[in-house]
Amino acid sequence: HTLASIFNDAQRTTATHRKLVNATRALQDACVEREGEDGEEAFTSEFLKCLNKVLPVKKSEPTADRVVKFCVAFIQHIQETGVESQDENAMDMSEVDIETTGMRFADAVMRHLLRGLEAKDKVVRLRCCQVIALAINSLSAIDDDVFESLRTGLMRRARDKEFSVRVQAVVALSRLQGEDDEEGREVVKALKLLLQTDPSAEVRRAVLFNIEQNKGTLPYILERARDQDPINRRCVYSRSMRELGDFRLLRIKDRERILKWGLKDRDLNVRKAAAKMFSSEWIEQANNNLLELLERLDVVNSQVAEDAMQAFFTARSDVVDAIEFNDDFWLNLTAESAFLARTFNDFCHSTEVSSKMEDKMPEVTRLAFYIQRYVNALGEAEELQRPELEFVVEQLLIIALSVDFADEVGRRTMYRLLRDILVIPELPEVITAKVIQVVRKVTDREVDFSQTIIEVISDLHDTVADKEGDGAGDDSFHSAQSDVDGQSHQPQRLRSVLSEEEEEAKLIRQSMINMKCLHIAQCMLENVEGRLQNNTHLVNILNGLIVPSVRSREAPIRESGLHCLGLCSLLDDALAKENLGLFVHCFQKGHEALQIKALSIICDIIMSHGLSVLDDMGVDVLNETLLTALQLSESPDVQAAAVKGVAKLMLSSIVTDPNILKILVVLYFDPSSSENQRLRQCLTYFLPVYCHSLSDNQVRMQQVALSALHHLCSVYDDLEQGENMVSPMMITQQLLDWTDPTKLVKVTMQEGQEISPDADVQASLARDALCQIREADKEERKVLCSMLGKLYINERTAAPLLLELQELASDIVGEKVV
Amino acid sequence: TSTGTEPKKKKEKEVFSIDFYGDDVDEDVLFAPGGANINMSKAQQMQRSRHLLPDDMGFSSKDLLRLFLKPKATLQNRKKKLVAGG
Repeated sequence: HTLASIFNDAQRTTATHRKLVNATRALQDACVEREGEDGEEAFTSEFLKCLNKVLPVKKSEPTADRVVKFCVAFIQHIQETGVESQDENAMDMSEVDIETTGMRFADAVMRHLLRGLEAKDKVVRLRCCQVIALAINSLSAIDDDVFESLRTGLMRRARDKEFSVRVQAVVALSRLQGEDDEEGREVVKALKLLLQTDPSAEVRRAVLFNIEQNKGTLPYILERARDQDPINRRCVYSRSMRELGDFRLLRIKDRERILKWGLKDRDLNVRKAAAKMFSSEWIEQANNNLLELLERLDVVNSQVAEDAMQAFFTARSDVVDAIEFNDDFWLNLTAESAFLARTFNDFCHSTEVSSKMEDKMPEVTRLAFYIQRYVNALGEAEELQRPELEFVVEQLLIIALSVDFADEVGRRTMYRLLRDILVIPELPEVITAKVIQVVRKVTDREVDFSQTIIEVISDLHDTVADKEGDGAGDDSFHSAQSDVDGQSHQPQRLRSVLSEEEEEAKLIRQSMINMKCLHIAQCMLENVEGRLQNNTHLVNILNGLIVPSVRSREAPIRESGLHCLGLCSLLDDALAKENLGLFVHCFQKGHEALQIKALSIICDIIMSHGLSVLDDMGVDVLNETLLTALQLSESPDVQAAAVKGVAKLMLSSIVTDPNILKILVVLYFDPSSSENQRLRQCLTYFLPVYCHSLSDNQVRMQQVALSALHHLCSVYDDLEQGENMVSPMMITQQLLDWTDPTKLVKVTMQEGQEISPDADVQASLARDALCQIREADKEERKVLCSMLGKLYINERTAAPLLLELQELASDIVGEKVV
Repeated sequence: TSTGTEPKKKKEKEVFSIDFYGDDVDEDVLFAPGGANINMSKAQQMQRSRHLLPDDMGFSSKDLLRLFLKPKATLQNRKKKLVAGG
């Protein structure tokens, strides 16, 4: 054997590496035996010459990777055997000379590789980092200087311009991290910085895989669940969280966040990984006990626990089959167990495995009994217990919403119970809303439903009246007491003071009950669809409660009244016509929340009745209102609501004004909206859906595309420090995509033939571009020209249009515009 | 020997191989220093973007088919109702 032949064999397969390592060792021993120190040096030098040949071989070449592996195996081997021989000869050795052949060899290799860390050839830098990364763990007693050089060298490579070098540097550096010494901590710090800021997703992933998990690094690891790269996000769930071993190490807040991010991710694979983590790992870490798992989340306030349970039941049909709820369970509900029953019920309904659930869920009468039980408990509960009981009741009501009320006795029991519950003055709003939904379910006709609610409202008013009766009693009590205090010589004045206080308390009580009635009315109106005028109860509630509230001097009552008036307007076009001016006024004069409410009502009204509720002047007012709202960049929430409203109206082809479309396009890219995620994300959905759903819409987009682009180019030119905006080139890509006729949703013709793509849309775009080129500055011209090459124009394009294009183009070329 | 090895052999011929018997690599060339050119630019190094997705507002296209005030009723229902109502 020669070293060359050993290396030659090592590159073919790793299977013989063990044998080859021994052969190399034998070769080294022979050299030392023959020529002592010189022989050892000659061997090392020969070895390095072979290693040199691997260093320029491009990355992920398995041949080179195998040789690297072999070299590392040898370094490791002689370190280990070196130590042994040192132990054997320990007696003979003086303390100064504990160096072994293995150590000297490793030292030489490392010094050699250090020379390559700053090499011009990126592959050499990468290979050097790779060997160091693999070998560094086996370097037990390396010279301090070398060690320090390695560390600083690798730290510099973590800033290499080639991401592949940085990946290897990260892997190597991660072997040097630690919390015990300053150097180790510095490495951790560098890794954390890379994990957050490295522009390459692969580098960030390398850190994610290799950084030590501890209290200090965990927040950085968790944060990667929102990494821009979907693979990195997935790896947090499939790898980092598994390595963590116990989700209880996360704070409740972080458990919620990590679940929410993962289960609601836009990438299917991330969602799958998150679902798997929850349904097979977290449950195991909670002793395979669902209730225990839920107790470790904050189900009452969670935004994701519902999705988590859905994912869980989907993955674990074994659990779904085995689940049992006995009487004892229902009689001792907690937030977690009620939530479990409710989400189980939801799951069975959504997957239509209702057979599984029939014998597991209580029948209607029984359910009514449980609802009553927990409503009663809520009435008697201490402040601290209320949120949980409220939550339990809410879960039971959600179950009731899905129940089949065919059983007449059960239905009546439920109806009576719910009606009684509604008149409890202290009933929380969340519960009120749910109860009213169930009442709608157990009453056949809308008329009966609204009658029930009207009766409830009138009962509630009576309750106030009764209380006022009690109030009078209080009054006399106070008077009596003041007599005892010996202030009876001023009865007249005292009485007037007290009655003022009394008056105030009465007013407060009245407005509270008014608010409650308005809320009930609102919940009812949300569940009604028929025409207002056909339902006298609704007319009564409009005139008796809502209209007076709109005129109230108390802002909360007025605004609540407006909301109800809006809901009524959805049921009656005459009423809508009458009140649109009022809503527009509210938008113009109101605070932000009221502006949003007014906009929502206006948009809903137009959605429900169409533009016919407006006269000519009204259409102008509507457009003006929408335009104003869209440009309220100082009120991002109002602006976002306006965008959403306009998007709906445009998607329903009610609003067709191209100016408004242009404003939406500009807004989408404008730096002023870059922080307004609600607005941006709405448009991300809306714009492609709008353009690709209807050919008329696409034509409209074509009509405004270039003037929007022109505007955006000038915005881009004037971009100020710190403002974010994509380049005009990227904007053009988007415009091309939106106007691409091949992306239009194919409408099947009567004879089952597909319509061929409209070849005129982008030809028109070409015409617009050719016209605009003359007026455009250099940058815009560049963008326009690049656009011309990517348009869908073919032999089906209308002949006159083609002719026009040809003329325009030849003029431009003739005049040397470009 | 079996027919299965045929394509494998073909593949092996294309496999890259390092010549360990040939001339030594010139270390001055191999380790020629790259200078400052091998590092990320200063601007890149100062860049502090955290490469995170923006907060997802959970927007879906269904949102565009709902009324603001009656989020449970979809417009599909409304249209049906209008037709049914004449």
